[in-house]
Amino acid sequence: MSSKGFSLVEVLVAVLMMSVSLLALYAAMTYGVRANHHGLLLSEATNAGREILSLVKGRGWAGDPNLQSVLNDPVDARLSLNAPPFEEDLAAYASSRLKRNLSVRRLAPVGTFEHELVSLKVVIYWDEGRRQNSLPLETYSRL
Amino acid sequence: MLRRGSILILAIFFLFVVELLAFAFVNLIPTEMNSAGRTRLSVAGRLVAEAGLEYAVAWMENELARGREPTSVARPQAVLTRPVQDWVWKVTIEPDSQTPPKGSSNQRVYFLTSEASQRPGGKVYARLRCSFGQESFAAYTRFVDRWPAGTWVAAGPSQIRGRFHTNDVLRVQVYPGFYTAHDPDWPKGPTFMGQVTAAGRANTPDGVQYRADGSDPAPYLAKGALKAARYEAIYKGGRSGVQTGVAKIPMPLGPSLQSLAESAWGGVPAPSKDDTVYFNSGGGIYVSGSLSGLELRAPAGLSVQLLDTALGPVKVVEVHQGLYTTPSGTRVSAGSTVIEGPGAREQVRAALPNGVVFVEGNITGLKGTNRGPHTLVSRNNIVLAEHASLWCADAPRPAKYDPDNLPISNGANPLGLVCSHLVVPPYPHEGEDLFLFAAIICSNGGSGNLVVEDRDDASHGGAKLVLVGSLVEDSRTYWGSTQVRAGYGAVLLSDKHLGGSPPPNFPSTNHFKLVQAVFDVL
Repeated sequence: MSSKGFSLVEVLVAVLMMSVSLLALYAAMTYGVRANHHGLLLSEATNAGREILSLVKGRGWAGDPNLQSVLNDPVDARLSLNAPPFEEDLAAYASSRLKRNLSVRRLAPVGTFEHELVSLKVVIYWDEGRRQNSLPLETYSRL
Repeated sequence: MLRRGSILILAIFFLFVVELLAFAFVNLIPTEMNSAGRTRLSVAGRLVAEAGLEYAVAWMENELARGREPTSVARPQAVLTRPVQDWVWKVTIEPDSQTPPKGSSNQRVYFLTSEASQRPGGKVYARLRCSFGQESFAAYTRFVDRWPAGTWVAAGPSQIRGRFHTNDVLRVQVYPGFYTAHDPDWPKGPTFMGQVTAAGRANTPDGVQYRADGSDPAPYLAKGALKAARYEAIYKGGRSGVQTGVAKIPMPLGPSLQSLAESAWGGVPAPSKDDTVYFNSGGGIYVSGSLSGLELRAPAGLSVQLLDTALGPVKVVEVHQGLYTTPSGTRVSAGSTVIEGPGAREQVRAALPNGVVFVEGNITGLKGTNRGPHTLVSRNNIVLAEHASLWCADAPRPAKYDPDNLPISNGANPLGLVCSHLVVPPYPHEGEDLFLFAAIICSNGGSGNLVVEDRDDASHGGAKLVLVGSLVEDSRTYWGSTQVRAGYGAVLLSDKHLGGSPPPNFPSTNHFKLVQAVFDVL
């Protein structure tokens, strides 16, 4: 029996081990890319939600009776981020895959000081493959 | 030459290297995920903490509107908490050293700390530490509680150069051709140069009522779409420059006056009602009768007030710089107060009064140049001396109003006037502008206003009333009492310093504004 070369068993074992490790590496990379993508979308959704709430708060739009119906998106609707009244302000998000649902409601009925406070809630939606994600953000604004 | 089994060793080695790479990569994944997750928690927590602050400020304003102090001796620290979605905010409210129950200032300041966590008592994800101060009425260039019927603000070039508020519906008169006019003054700005707010709302797209004779007055189209250029011609900031339907701001009445009276007493018991002038070293000057003359004088280093009461003239000299020699030869150093007059001849006090002069009756014959912070209060009327303006020691004294050279002070010498009516007597010199450097509140519970008597600028050489400061009125405009629609062509200039450094104990609104904010990174 010669000492040169590799035995078939050796090669098979080596190929098997390399295959397993490469498969594991591939799985890890796939997961990593997805996770990275998820992280980016989550960050984008966070920023978009914060920007929408800042716009409504900063401009005092929630106190404008003419705008309140425009600000309230239909229940369960998923609109593009730059849907009215944010056509100009969020034009940069026109091609974004993120969607939004914004609601504005008073904290309490007439008769208490809480009536002068509104809750601003925005939910940002996005799809990742077959999975649907959402991010709710809420704050208050004085009228 | 390879020995049998060496390929296995090599495979294991490469496998080890690949495993190391995979391990490092897999370790980085949670970092990315965690970073996005932390950002989400931080942003969501901050929004919840901000919600807590909004709630707490609304609560404090409501407490004051109901005549209750947010904090008291029994409750030196107020704590509010409430859930929002899956979060909970908790706000702690503490008064500063001048705010009740620790002090009696008209300008309350509170320190608020708002924390957001995901369960009561749980880990805090966001913390905001802020101080909120009551907004002074001196921050408004013009404030009108209720508009008299048939009165409109005429749209014109830059007439109101600061914040404007009314508790009524805002009515704007737009003259034909206004939007296309090329007035020489036109490039100097729109009618309202500061933020405009109105508690009332007309049934129009923006809540403002517009009127014109024979032309299209509104800055919006029939269906409500705005005409940006028109808005910018009326409001600085365009459509965003006007807000209607905001909360009402109550006029300052009894409690503010009582606080000013106590400020003049300076902690001593309320004086008797005899006609007497009280100089209170820990407070201000309290006059139980009326003043027939009050002159503010500002020679270099000195501020002199001459109080002429029923008892006779009293001179108060506040020594700001250098030395002062009294008529009897006593040398008085800076930081002292010298009082001369009946019952108080040549008294020297080590500390200056706090600047509040409270008069139970009228103040007549007011004139002069103010140095130092002063608030002059009358339960009735303040009447200016004839042919007299009110100047500020640190501001230029132009002969005429010039929009290119505005006479703005540096804020070191704020003067506040609080009364029922401020009366400007007939001004005998045609064509001369009347300058008032003051924050003025005219309020008697319904009709307090600035009364400009028998004045018609058109027939007096176009003279203007130039108010550098603030004007707060009940329910009439500043037009003359005898010629309601023919008064001074008024220019209202804001003093940007007055809101932040108002005259001493000047009344405040029940609104709080953010003074300082710190966001703790957790």
